[in-house]
Amino acid sequence: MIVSIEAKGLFPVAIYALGGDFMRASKLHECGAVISLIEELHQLGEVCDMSKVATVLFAGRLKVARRILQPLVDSGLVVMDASGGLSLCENEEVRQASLSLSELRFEPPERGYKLVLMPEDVSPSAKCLVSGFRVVENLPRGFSPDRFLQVSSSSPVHERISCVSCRKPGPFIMKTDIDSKFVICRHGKSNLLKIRYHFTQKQVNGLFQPGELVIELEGDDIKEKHWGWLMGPLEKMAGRKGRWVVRVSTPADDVLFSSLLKINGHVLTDVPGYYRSISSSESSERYGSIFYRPSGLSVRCHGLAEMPEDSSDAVDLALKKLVKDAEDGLVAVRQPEAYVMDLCRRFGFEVSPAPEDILDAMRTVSANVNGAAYARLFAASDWRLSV
Amino acid sequence: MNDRSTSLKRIADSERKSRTDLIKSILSGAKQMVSLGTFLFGHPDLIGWVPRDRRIYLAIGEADIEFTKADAIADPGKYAWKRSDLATNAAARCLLRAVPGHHLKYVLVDPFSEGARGLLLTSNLTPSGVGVESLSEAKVSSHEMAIELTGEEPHELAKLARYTLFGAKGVREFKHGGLQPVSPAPVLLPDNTSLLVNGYGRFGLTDALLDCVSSAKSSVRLCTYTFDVDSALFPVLRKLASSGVDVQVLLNSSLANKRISDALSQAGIKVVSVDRMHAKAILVDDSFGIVCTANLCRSGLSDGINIGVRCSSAIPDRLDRLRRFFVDRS
Repeated sequence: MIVSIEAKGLFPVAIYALGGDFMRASKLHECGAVISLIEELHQLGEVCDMSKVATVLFAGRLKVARRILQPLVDSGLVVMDASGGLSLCENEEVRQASLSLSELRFEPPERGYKLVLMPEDVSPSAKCLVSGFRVVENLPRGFSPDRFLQVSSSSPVHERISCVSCRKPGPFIMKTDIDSKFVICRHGKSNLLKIRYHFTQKQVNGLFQPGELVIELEGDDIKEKHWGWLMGPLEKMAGRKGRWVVRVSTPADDVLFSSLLKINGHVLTDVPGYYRSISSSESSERYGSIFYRPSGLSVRCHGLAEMPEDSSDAVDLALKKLVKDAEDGLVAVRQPEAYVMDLCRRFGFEVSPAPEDILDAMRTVSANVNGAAYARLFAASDWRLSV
Repeated sequence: MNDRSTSLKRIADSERKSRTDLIKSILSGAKQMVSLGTFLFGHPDLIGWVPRDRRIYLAIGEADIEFTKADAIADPGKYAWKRSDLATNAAARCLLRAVPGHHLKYVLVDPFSEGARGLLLTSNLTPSGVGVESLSEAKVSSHEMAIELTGEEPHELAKLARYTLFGAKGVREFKHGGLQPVSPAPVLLPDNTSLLVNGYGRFGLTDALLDCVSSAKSSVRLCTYTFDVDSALFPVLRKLASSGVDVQVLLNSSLANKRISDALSQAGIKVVSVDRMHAKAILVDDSFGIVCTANLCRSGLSDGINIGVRCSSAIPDRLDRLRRFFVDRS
């Protein structure tokens, strides 16, 4: 089964709030560059110090060089001697430990001891997303998940927020343009950015397969420096495009997916592809399913108060739904077995009931419905209709 | 009321009772489903004669939704109850659809099964045609016919009913307290049936009526609720009468039929005026004929959806009933 979900308006908020994480990613690259420089100079027999790092990598900005180097020195990966000379730790254990702490790792020597982001098995984007939603849950300055859930094109959010790129406070507006499927972010200091994204992920027998996050950006100032915190990592991860496809791999994905659901007010149930509403436990319509459409990923509420545990349960529920629809006047002419099969498929169960079995079951579950609904239920079979 | 009128009323009452018993018997024997068709619906008991757990499909004429005060005055027996309430009540027991131009009158039971039974009625499903439990409220009865369908006829009528209910355009369904449009389903209109069908661009019934009457050698008996000089049958009858064929027309006593009554008389045709004549049938040479749901006036033969069945020696009981109907009222 393929499942999908639209993250609605929260993902760009997460990115925005998570600017630090993207920046951190950039910093890690910078760290990699620093370590490579130290190693390179060491092999050439030259001394590397803070001044050299600043000159070679950071346009002579000592403060920047110190900010980048300090965590590396603190973790023991880079050793600073009494004269300020820099070298890499010789102890392999210390090096690995510090690397895992700083989420860096060494590439093989033939690739120049480049340091890269953590490997694909824990994708940065997946981590960003998950962390992002955590951030959203604890947003300062008046933000709250509830408020973001209410965001629409008619209810923009205005807050005084510090831009993660220019670091200046200003009004922040985020609204979802449902027609164009863009989420529009505007910061008083960083101008406008439109983000279109969707996340797809296959689920087979309840296990999530590697997902795919597609991010598209549009904006007049998209190439401006103040969006660099977002554009830079994306370009590094997926190339210099206007559209980025980011593979999101397991094992973080079930957490990610649950987070996506949770932020939308749902939690996964034990039935693959089936969710229930968190907030409406008292509601009679609290179960739904997650399914794939060509246009993207979608979550739909079935309007059911019960959840099937097996295919037999699913058939029973589908029949009850069929009866309810018939009472509401919705099912006038339809093959009941096809209707039941379709509903069961949405629950994640493939059933192929025989028409006679369905009719027998319908007689049982529809015993008390009024005549009009009863006739609607059986119209297809009574009149030999093939609809 | 003179003796003849009293006698005719007694006949109508008696036939309504036996017709009602027949309908009750057929409906109560339904195993799965019942399909009812009528132009006007206003019967308080009929739906209740169907066993509780059977599906009921009721097709009514769209014109039934807005009946005029003039109709009520002209035919009080049809309107002894408030029909809109009855329709609402019926909608709770059956799938009730209003079909544009629907003038069919029938009762069908399990039409696609081995035990299929069907009745072609000339009467609407109203108290004047089908008796009610409280006889004090069934003040008047009409002269009607009920023909039990045989052979493939129930099945063929079911296919036509299926089209009118589910395949035709403009059909509306009673739900949520009102008439709601429904989307037509891909259902084909049956072709080449032994039933005579008018409607949806077909005029098999009208053609058959004209052929039947035109072939008369010795006599023609005709009864109808409405008739007029614009009817395609009128010039045929006039020609037959002028050529010596014994033509007799049983017409409902009404002002609407006054002009045709005079015209028929002038053409040498015997006109018998009968209170509450609502049957529509012809009998030719006392040996074959047609019973149908269409009035034999211009609009009845050219507009709306109607059916008819042939009566001949191939089905002796049916022919006998037709003969007896005219004999009893002549």
